[in-house]
Amino acid sequence: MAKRVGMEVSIAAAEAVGLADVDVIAAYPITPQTHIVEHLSELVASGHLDAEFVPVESEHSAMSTCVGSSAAGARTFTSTSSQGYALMSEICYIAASLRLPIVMVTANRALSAPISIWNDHADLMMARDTGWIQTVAENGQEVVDLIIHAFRVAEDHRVLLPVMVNLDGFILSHMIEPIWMPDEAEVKAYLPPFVPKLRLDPKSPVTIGPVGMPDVYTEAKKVQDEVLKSSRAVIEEAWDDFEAKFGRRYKAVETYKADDAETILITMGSISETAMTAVDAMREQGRKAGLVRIRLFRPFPAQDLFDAVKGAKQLAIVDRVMNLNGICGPVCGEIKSVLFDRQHAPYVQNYIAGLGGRDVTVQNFTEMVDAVEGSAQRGDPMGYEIINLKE
Amino acid sequence: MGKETVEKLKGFKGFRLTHLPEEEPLSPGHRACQGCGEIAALRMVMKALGSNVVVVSATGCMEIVTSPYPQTAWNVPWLHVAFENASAVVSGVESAYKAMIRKGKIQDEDTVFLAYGGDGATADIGLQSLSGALERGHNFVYVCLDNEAYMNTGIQRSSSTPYGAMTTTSPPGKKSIGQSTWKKNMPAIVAAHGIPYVATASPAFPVDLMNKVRKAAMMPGPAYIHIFSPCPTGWRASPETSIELARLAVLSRVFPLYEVIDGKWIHSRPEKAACGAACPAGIDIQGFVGLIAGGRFMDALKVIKQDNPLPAICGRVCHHPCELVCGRSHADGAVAIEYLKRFVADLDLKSEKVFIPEKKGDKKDKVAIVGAGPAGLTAAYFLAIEGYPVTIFDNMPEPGGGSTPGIWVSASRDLVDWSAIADLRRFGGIRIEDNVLVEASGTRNLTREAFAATA
Repeated sequence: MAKRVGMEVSIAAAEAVGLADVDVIAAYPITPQTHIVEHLSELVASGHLDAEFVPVESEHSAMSTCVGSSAAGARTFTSTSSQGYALMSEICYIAASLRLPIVMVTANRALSAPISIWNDHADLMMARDTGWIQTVAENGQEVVDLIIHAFRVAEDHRVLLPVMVNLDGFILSHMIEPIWMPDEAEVKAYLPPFVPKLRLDPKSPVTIGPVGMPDVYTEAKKVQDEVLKSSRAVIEEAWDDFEAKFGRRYKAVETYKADDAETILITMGSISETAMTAVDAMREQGRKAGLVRIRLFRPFPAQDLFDAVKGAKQLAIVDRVMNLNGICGPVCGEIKSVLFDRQHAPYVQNYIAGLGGRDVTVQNFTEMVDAVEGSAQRGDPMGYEIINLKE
Repeated sequence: MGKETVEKLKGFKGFRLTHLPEEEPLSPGHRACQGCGEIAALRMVMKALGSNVVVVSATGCMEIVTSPYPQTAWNVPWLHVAFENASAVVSGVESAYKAMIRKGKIQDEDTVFLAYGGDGATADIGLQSLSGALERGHNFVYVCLDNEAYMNTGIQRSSSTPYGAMTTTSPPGKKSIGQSTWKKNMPAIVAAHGIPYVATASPAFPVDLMNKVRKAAMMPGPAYIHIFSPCPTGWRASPETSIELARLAVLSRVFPLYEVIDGKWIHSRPEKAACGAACPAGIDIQGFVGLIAGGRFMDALKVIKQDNPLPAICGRVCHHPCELVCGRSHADGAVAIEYLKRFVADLDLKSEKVFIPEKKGDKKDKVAIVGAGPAGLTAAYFLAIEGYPVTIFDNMPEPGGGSTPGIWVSASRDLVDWSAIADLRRFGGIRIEDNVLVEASGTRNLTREAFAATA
């Protein structure tokens, strides 16, 4: 039976990994991911979890060890943040290309310089082109649920791709929250044992990671793209079954009071709950504001997003990362691309918020809605703006 | 050596050239260059390991030439991920096996885990992940195939490139001699991790190489083998010279073969270079030639006289097999070892104070030596150094034995007074009784005369 516990989200994440009965964990400490791997090593040391905890000497080796472990057929987990992700990113591309179902929790943190241990989505965005499936949690319950979901999706033979579960560093990772923690039997019923399709086994030799000459490379990439796209169906299937077994429903794109909204805020991660409070307040004032939250970032849920925002006149898209391209943030860029392909042109303003741990408040969201509505009325050129900027 | 290590190695008899395993885990269908020393070494590694193995490859020549999709040269499971992380990847494979065996998901079949990489993948970009895996103590074998530069990318220098070598990023020029740094000592760095087994090997010594690989696989915990692997393409050498170059590197001591077992350093070959090994008197030839090169002539003589008390005469009559095997003969001619030896010996004889070694002590037992030929004189010399009172009985008017007339003819008259005799006469404790004929039956009389031993 599931139990309702009050627990730090990092500890809950580690407990969820333990419930998934992983075989190998390879991790290197980095703030704010540390509590997750500390608790995992405790679970292993105390005998609660029968796994190999490999205390590697870098994140690069963490992901490399995960690749070796997963290729050998073991259920494999790691966790990192920020600079750690940057260091391992070379191998993250390879993990996806080799179709290895590794699960990683990223406690999202800003990238240096200046060095900052606090939250934004720089690491999450760095991972967007690696071929990983990426989900984003808004609270502790979602972290637990998405981790269990991640193993199920990753190891499905129709998918066999690594999954990154994102949670905001400190803001979420270090929060103590009420969480329904499922028990072992419940997780076992939902998550079948990992049966590798291919593994490194002398009885049945296989060559993994060969050279791809120009005559095969393009096709290899095409296959990978198709698999990532088609994983969407399995992700949905796994969420459907999750609802059936645990009673909690997840969608790739979540909407909040968005159906009749004239202005829609689009967010990702823990700020979504703050944005909901802002939407509630605006609705009380009779304003037609709504919210769209992105739960699945890769594969990108283009149609879901379009369907969620197509009725709105104004979009205020929030990016929690600086995309130094001079046009807009990455989430905004993706959505503009979705709109352009469908020849749909609402008024779009991009807000860069919450960099390097700066708070994003209820008032900030109200101001964004005010600003985008004002700009649209005046016919100001569309663009991006960094909010809460000190002059 | 730890107890566990000793136990592990006990049953291992070693490979024999006539009975090498026929299986080829790395099949001949690959695309390596002609004369590639690396693929030759890797083939031997795989023959020694057999088929119950999982192989992890670093990026490099051996990865490229064996795995162009859809072809593969590997008859065993093989995984390539990236350049710098073979040690971390193999850590993952080994950990996965450990966990899955413990959890009953797979059978324990003593599978060996091998990671290999070139010198760049080992000594440069992969040093950190190697160090991490060694320190964590994973049970795996790491093989460094050292061809002394980044050959796959076009012969760029690595930290394993030797001093003075020309590569495309260490070109010699007006302001450079080529590689300006000395070769990184990888085996010593690995040995400093305190792992159970470290060895160097060469494809020119295949049985030694294969024995080391097998031992490495048998060792519990991490093992490391550093293999000198000539690259004809990068070294601008003829393909047919690869194995010869590998051999010469060992014989000339540029690349010594050794093992470090539980911290104990053991030479795999006689400690002498080819010249010294060829010397019938076993002289430390590299030692004394080096001292002569440094102008330390009397020190050179002392080194010679540790093994041969007759250097002036040997410097004239020896057929010098040392010079026949000298590594320099392939470059600019053999070192004139015999003349160098004669030079310091003559210098000594002409000096006012001839070198006489220290006596190590005083022994009571008297020794009688029959015959003052080269053997008798040499025996007398070493026994006298040990402190034995020695008497030589000889039936000739002068010492020198039966060879004296020949030496009279071939050697310079001035120096025929037998260099060693000059020494021996001055050496306390040696007496030579000339013109005494000792019959075979007479030796019994000598012992009766209170000699402890006769020779």
